[in-house]
Amino acid sequence: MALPAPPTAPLSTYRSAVLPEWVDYNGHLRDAYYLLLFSLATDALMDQLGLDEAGRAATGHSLYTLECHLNFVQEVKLGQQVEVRTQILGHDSKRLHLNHSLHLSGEAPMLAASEQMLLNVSTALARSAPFAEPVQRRVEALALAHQALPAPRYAGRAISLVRS
Amino acid sequence: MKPNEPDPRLRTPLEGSGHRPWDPQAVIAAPLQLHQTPVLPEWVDYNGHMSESCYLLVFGDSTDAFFRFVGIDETYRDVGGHSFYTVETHLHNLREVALAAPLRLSLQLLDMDDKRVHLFHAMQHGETGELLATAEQMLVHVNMQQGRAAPILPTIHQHLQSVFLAHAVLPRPAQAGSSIGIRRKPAGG
Repeated sequence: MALPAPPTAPLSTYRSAVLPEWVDYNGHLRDAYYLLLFSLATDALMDQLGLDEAGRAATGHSLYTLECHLNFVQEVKLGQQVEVRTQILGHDSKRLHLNHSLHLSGEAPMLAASEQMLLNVSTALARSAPFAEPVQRRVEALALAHQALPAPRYAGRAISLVRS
Repeated sequence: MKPNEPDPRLRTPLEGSGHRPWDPQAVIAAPLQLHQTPVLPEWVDYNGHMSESCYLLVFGDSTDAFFRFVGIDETYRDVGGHSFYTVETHLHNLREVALAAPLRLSLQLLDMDDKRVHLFHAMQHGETGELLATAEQMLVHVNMQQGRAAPILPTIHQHLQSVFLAHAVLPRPAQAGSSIGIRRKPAGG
């Protein structure tokens, strides 16, 4: 069965209010909870790729984050409604390169960004494995839909005092 | 919040503990080892492994310990109105780690200028020494009222310079300065 073509825009993968247990003394979202929001968005993306709980059980696969770059652009405050948008930047037979961006729900300005490299792993063997065929098809469809999108503002960076 | 309701905000391990007295004669360890903790029950996922965001929580606690080491604490923040904000972080996840495993953090000051510090953290297993994860961070010193970058105050700057000099002997970590991308092997290679 042919899958419907995904939209040619970053996917809205996760929405939440900023919770009291995520903020510091000042009511600002703490670093680790930006990453929690991005991790929850990765989980939602996995659901869409067929790696939800049932898919993980059927394939014996899961995605493991090898590397993660975070840029903190604006403060995020207790109670704000936020949204993560996700763009596929590249893939091969077992890796997925993506960019998440954090926004106030429905609004354009970026509050933070996270570029990530995910690896498909066989959980039983604890080693990398090619994507299962249905997952590979979904990854390809999404990558194709996103290939003409502009490169995200913070993707591809290395940390340095020299340029920023 | 009602008076009887517990504050749901998480406390950091060193919160409210003040800064360490600075001893100009003391040898500065290279790298510094200022934080260790076991993996706590609230940090593990359904698989029994520490979840991704909790690695950053632990690295953040190590950064907090470092700032207290050079003299930055709640008083510095509340009285002087200055603080350091993280602008950028790069994490490498190398090994999964299970509940109760001992974590040992080490910290290297890679670079600094009058407003910024560039840090590198390594997280190792406290018994085996195995490298579990690394974090590279850029933090900027801000005037909180103005909401903009401001020069690091002279005393703190001097302490940071001492750390920077002590850490100049360390090799550059393999993970530092990397960017993310799929590097394809050259054809036929």
